[in-house]
Amino acid sequence: MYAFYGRIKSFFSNSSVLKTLIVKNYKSRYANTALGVLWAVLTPLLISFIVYFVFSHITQVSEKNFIAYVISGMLPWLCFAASVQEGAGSLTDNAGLWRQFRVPLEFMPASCVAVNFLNLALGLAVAQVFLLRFSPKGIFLFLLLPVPLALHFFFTLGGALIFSSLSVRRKDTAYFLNVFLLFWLWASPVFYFRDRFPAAIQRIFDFNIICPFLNLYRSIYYENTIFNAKDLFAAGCLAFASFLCGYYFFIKREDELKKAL
Amino acid sequence: MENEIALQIRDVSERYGIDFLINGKVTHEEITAVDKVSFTVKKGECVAMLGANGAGKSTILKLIAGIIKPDAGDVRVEGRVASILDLGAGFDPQLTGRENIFLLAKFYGIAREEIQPKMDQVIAFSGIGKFIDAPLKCYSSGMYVRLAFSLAIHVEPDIILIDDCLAVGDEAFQKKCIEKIFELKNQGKTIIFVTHDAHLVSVLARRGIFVKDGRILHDGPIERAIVCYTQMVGDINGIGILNKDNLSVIFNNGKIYINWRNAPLSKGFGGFAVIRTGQGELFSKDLSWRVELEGMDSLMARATDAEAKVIQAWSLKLAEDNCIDWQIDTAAGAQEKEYFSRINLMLNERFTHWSTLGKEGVFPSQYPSVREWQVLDAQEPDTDGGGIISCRSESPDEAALPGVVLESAKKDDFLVARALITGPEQSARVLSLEAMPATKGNRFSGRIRLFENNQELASYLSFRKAKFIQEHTIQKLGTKLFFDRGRLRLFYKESELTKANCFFGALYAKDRWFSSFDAAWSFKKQDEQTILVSAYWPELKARHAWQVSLVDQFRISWKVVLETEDDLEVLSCRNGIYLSTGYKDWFSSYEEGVFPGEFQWQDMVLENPLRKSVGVKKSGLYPGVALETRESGVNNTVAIQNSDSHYQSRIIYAAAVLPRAVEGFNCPAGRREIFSGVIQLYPSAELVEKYLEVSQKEKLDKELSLQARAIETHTIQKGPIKIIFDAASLRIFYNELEISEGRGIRSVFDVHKINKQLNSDFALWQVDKVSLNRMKCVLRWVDIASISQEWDISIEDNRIDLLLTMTSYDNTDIFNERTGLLLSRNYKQWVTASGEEGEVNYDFSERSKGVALKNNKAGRMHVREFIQQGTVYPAASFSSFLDRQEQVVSLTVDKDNGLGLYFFKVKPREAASKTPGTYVYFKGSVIFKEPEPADKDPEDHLSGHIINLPGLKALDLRFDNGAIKLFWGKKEITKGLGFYTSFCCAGLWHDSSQAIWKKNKICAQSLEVTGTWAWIPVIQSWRIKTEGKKIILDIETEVYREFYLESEEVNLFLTDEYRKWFAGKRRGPFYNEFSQSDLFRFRIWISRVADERMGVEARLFRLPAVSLRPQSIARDAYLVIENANILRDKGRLIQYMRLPDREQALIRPCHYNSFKGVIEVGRI
Repeated sequence: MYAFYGRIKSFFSNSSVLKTLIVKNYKSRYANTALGVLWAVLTPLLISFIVYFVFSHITQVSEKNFIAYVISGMLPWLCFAASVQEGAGSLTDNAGLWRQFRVPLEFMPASCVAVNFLNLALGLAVAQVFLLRFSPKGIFLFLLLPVPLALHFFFTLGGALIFSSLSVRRKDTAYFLNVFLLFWLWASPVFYFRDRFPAAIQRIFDFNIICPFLNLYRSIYYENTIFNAKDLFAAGCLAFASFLCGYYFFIKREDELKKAL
Repeated sequence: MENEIALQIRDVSERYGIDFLINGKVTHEEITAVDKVSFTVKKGECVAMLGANGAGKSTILKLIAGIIKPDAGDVRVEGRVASILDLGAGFDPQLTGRENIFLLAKFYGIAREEIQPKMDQVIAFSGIGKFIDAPLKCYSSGMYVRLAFSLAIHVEPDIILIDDCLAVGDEAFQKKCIEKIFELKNQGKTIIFVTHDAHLVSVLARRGIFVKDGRILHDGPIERAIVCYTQMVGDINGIGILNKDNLSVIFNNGKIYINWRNAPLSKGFGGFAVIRTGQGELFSKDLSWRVELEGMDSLMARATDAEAKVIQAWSLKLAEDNCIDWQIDTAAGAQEKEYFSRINLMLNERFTHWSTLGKEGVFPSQYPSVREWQVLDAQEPDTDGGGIISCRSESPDEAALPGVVLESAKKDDFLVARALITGPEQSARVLSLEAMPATKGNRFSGRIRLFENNQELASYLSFRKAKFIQEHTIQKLGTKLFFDRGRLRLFYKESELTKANCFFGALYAKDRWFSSFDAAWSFKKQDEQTILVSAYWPELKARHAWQVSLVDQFRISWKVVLETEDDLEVLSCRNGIYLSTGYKDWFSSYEEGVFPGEFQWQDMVLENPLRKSVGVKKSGLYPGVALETRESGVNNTVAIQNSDSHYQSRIIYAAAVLPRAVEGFNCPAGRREIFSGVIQLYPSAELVEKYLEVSQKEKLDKELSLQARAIETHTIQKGPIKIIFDAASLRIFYNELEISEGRGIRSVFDVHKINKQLNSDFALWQVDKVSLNRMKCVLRWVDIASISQEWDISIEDNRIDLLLTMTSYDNTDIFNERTGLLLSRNYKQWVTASGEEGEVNYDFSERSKGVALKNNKAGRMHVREFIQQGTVYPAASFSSFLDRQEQVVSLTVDKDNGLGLYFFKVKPREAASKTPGTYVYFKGSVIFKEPEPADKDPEDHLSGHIINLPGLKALDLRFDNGAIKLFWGKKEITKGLGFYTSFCCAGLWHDSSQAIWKKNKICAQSLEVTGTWAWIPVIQSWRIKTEGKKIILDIETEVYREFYLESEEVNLFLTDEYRKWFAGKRRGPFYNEFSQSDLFRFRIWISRVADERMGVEARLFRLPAVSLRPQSIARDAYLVIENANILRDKGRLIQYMRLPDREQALIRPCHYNSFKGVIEVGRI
C-alpha cells in the first residue's frame, strides 16, 4: 500500500515529465497542419453543430437552447471517448520512449488523457463565447469549470489506465472499445433529453456513470446554475474510485507490461 | 553499496514468456534469457560484453537500465543511467530535429537552463547541419542515428549502457563516437557496452564479460573474453572441441584455436587454410562447415559450397606428445579445381621469436600500421622441402608459454615457411606454410607441435635440421654437395666453395632470361652419390632437370636436360657456378689471369675459342675448381665472369646458343640434353699448372693441325686457278699469283626493314668444301636472322662460276643488290662490253670513286692483261648471266680494295618486297681471257624505237633506253645522250640512260615508257607524242622512298654544229669554248620566263632549228642554254633545271610532274 501511495506521489511529483509528454503529444498531433491547435476546438464544435442541426432541423427537436445542451454533452463525451481510445493504444505506440528514457509507463495514457482534456477546456472556453455567456453569472459559472474538468479527468484517466494495460497483451481491446463506446454514447443523454424516455429507461440513465459528469457540465452551460450537490458527490466518488482502481490495476500488471513491451 | 561500486548484479535471472504459433496452435513457453548472472562494476570502469546473438547481453543491459525487473536476483545501480539501447526510439518524425532534441533532453532530465547549450553541442556533434530544422521524416537513416547517438552521449549520466550501436553512421562519424566514448571514459564514467567488433572492444575496454546462453562464461581480462568470443561464437554445427592433457583445440567453422593449459595461444582467426581457385583465393573461415566428432581427441569437418557439394575436408587429431595432426583435403569445386595454397596460424603477442631450419628472427614489439600482413624475412623465403617454422617466447614472464612448431608431415611437400606479422587491428604473429606456386597439390598434411619449454623446442629443431641436412647431402670423403633450400652448395673439407646463387642454370626465351633461382625447385636424393634437382618455370612450362653426381672426391659430373611441355623457342642456355670471393686467379684451357679488384659484371677476356674448360686456381684453403664441358646435344662454350658487388662471386659457366629452327620452334615438346660437364677440383696448385701445361701443348698441336686442315678445307683449285676462303675473303690466285684484292668477291645489299646496308664482309660464314674445285658458303647476318645467302663457287677450265642465291624466311624488302669482283690495283685498263674503255688511276683524294659510264647496260666488264716485271696479271672478264633488262654495271676504284667490277640489280619496285623463298641473287662467271676486239654486245638489248614526225619527213626520233636522239636524215643532230633527264643525289648524277626502261605503249606517233633508276628510288614515265613539227613531252616522276635530291634536270643536248642560240626575242652566237671537266658548264643564258622558246640554230640552215619550250616553270626551276662537255662529248645544251631549296632537299615518297613541254624542230 505504501508503495502504491509512493507511486501516486511520484505521479504528481514527476509532473515535468508529464508536461513534456503532453507538449510532445500536442506538437506531434498538430504538426504540419494549416489550422494547428484550432482543430482542437473546431472538431468538437463542428460535430456538435452537426448533431444540433440533425436533431433540430431533421428530427425537429424544439427545445430552447438546444445547442447549448448538445455542446455541453458532446464536448465532454468526445473528450472522454478519445482519451480512453488513445490511452488504450498509448503504451504500444510509445514503447520506444519508455525503453529509451524510462518514462513511467502510466504517463503514456495520462498524457493522452491530458491532451484531450486540454482540448476540452479550450473547446468549452470557445463555447462560452459562442453561446454568448457574457453575463456575470455566466462568467462566474465558467470559472467553476475546472471542478467538473478535474473530476472528469481522473475518472477518464482511470479508464485509460485499465484499457491501456489490457490492450498491450490483448489487441482485441481496441476493437471492443470501439463498439462499447458507441453503445455507451447512445446509452447516455449526450445529445438527447432523458425525460423524453420512459421512466424505466431513465432509471438506467441513473446508473450510467458518465451522467453525473454530463450533468455538471450541463448545469454550467445549459441550466445556467451552480452544480447539483448529488451530481457533484457522485462525480467525485466515481472519479476517485476510477482513478484508484485504474492505477492499481495498471501497477499490478506493470512488470508484465514491461516484458511484453 | 560501497562508494566505488557503480552497479551490482546478484544471481539475476530473467525469463520471457513467448507464445509460439505452430500449425494454428498457440503454445506458451518460458525462455530463460538470463540465468543466475552475477557481476559487479566499479565506478569509472569500462566493461565490454561479448557473446553470440541471443546470448542474453541486451537483457542484462535492460536489467541494469531498469527497463525490466529481474525474475530473480537483485540489481543495484548507483547513479544516473543513460541507455543507448534503441537508437531513435522516442523520436517523433513529424517534429524537427531541434524540437525532438529539446523535448527528449527533458526526458533525460537535463535542466531547462542546460538544454540550449547542450542542444548546440548535440547539433554540432551530429553534423547534420541545416537539416536540424527539418522534420525527422525527411532524414536519411544515417542522419537519424547520428542525431540519436549524438543526443544520447551528451546527456552525461553516471553510467552509460550501449547496446551494439557504437559504430553508427559513416567512418568519420564512427571515429567521432569512439573519441567521445574515450572522453567519457576519461571523465570516469562507467561504461558497459555490447559489440561484435573484437578490435574496438580491445581498444576501449580492459575487462570483458563473455555471455553464452544466458550465463557468464568469462569475466576478466578483455583478451580472454575476445578469445572466448572468437573461439566459441559461430554456427554451432561447425564447432567442435578436442581435449587431451594440457592441450585443447577448438575447431570453429574453418578456424582452429589452440589453448594450452586453458590459456589461449591463438589470436584472430587462429589457424586457417587458404585455397587457390580459378577465381582467386578461398579462405576456410568463409565456408559453411559441419563437424563430426570422432572422440575426445579427433574430429572430421566438412565444408560445402552453395550446391551442398563437399569442397574441403579437415581431419584434426590430438596425438601423443602434444601434437595436433592436421590434414586438409580439397576437392574439385563446383567451378574449378582448387589447389591448396597455404596454412596460416595466428598466435598472440606473447610469442617473441620465430625460427625456421635456416633462419631466426624476432617478432617486432610494435605492429606495423598497414593493413597487409608483413613478411618478417625480407630475403627469399626458404624452400625447405618439408616446411617447418616455429615460435617461442624468450621473455622470462612467459616461461610457461610452450614452443609451437608448425610443420609439414610429408617429406616431399615443398612448402615455403614464413613468419609474418599482422597490422594493429589483428595484432597477431603468424606462422605460415605456403605451397610452391608450381605445385598443384590437393592435400596438406601438417602437424602442430607444442613443447613444454624452449629447450625441448631447440632440441627438436636441431634434430630436424640434422635430418634435413642428411637428406639433402651427398658426400664423398672431403667433398660434399648440399642442396640447401634452392641452393646447391659445394663444400670441400667443410669449406664452402660456392656462394650466392651457387649452381645455376638459365635460359633465354620469350625475349628474356629465366634463371633457376627464380624457378620452383624440387629435389630428390637418388642415392648416396647422386642428387636430382629440377627448376621449373611455369611461364615457360619448361624445366631444367639436373643430375649431379659425385664421381669421386675430386670430380662431380653435372648433366642438364631441358624438358619442355610445349614447343618453345630457346635462343640461349647457361649453366654454371657462383664461387667464393676467396678465389683470386682464373684460368682456361689456354689462358690465365687475375680477377679484377672491383666487383662489377665483367667477362674475363678469353681469346681462344677452342677452350673446353674454365676455372679458378687454388687460393688458401679453397681448392682450384674447373668446369669442363663434355659432348652433349648442344655446343657449349665455357667462360668466366666476375659478378657485381651484390653477389661478390666468381662465376664459371658454360653457355650455348641454340640454332634457330627454319620452321617451328627449336625446342619442341620433349627432352633434350643441353649441358654435360664435369666439375674438377684441384686440391693443389701444381695440378692446375700441370693441367695448363698439358692444355697448352694440346692447343698448339690442335692449332697447327687445324690450320693445316683449315687451309685445306677452305681451298679449291683447278688448273691455274685457286680460290682460298680466308676470313670472309675469297682470295683468287692465278698461277699462284693473287689477282684479287680485298674481299675478292663480295655482295652488298640494302635491307629496308632494318634500314641498313649489309655486305658479305661482316657476315657469319660457313664454308663447306664440296669437292676439290667447288665450295659452298652459307652467309648469315647477326642484324637480321630471317635471310641467308648461299654461294656456290666452282672452278672450271680457266673460269670461275658463281651462283649466289638468297633465301628469305619472311617478307624482307631487299634492294640495291650488287655483286662485285675486286681485282688487284695492278689492273689498269678496263673495257665494258659496249666498247667503253678507260684507264684507272688511284691518284684521287677520296677513298673510292666511281667511274662514269655512258652506257651502263653492259652485261660484261673486262680488264686487260697487265705485266709488271715478269709478273703477269691475266686478262679477265666478269660477266653476269642475269637479265640485262634488270641490271647495270658499275666500276669503282677503291684505295683499299683495288678495282671493283660490280653488277647492280635494278628491280621494278613491285619486286622489291620478297616473299619467303629462295631466288638467284647473282649468276655469273669470271673468265680469264682477253676481250675480243669487236666484242661489242649487239644492240638488240637497246630499246630504241623510232618515231617519225609527221610535219618533218626528214626527222626521226629515236627513243634509246632513256635517251631520245634526233636524226636529220642519217645525221644525228643530238649529241651524247640527246634528250634525257638526270637527278643529282649525294653529288652523283643519275641519268635516265642508266635506268632500266620498259615500253608501256607504242603507236606510230607516240610512245609511253617507264624507267626505274638504280641507286635512287625514282621511277619516271615519259609520254612522247609527235604532232606536226613538235615533239610533245610529258614526264611524270614517282619517288617511292625518301631520298635527298639536290637537283633535277631535263636536258636536250645537241651537236656543236649549232652556232646560234635564241631565247624568246634574244639571240646570240655560241663560242667554241668548253670547260675541261664536265662539272663546269659554260652558261650563256638563264631565264625563268615560261612559255618562251629557247633553242639553237645552225649556220645557213644546214640543220633544222631546235627549241625546247616548257609549258610552265616550277618555282625553283630555271631555263638554261650553255656549252657543255658531258661525258667527253661537247655540244650545246638546252636545259630545264630544278634546284630544290635546301629544306626541300629531302624528297618524301610522292608523284609529281617533272616536265611538260615541247621540242620544236624546224624553222622558227
